[in-house]
Amino acid sequence: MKRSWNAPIWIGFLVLVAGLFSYHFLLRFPATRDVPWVSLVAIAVAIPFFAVGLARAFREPQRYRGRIGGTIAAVVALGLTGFFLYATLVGVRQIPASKGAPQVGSRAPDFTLPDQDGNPVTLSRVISESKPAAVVLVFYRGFW
Amino acid sequence: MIRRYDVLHPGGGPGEAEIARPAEFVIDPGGVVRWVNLTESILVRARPEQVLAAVAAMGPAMAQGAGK
Repeated sequence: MKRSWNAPIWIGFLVLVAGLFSYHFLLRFPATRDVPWVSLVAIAVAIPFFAVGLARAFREPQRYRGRIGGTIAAVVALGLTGFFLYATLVGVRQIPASKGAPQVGSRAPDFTLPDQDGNPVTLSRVISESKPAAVVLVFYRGFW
Repeated sequence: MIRRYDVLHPGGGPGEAEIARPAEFVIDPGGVVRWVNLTESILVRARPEQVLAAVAAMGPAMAQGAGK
């Protein structure tokens, strides 16, 4: 008897890979960036597919394919998932404590930085000359 | 400037470069810091609404801040 294609394993694998790589694009939007929930949903959806596919590949090897291919796919999927979870849930939190940063109520350290035309801008002068309602200071990196 | 605000993230950039950690400050007309956001995760940054709310919230006490 010809053994049949074990679709759940590969559906699970596709869902997982698509879910993890989607984060690369979803990073652009705060609603999908702060917590990578789309990828987490994909992981949760992929697990039962893998479970069903692998279970029948091993219980009924005479009917279903996928003992070797399915195991390799599962190991790759686990590795990708582990890397993804570490990078997005643990790695991104490894930033210094910044204990010396100005706190609420303390005087903002003065500074001079070039503006978009290369002209120097000094905080104390902006405050005394432009009399702004507030100065918003943003330290950012990357593209958002 | 980054060091003066103690928001350096050594090795945080590409190739272990030193870059600033994400951080946002709101400073009042008296030069006093009124709102600080030092995120715990580089993925989570202050949103524009939060910053505007912080600026709006300091409105009533602004004269006091400016006088210090």
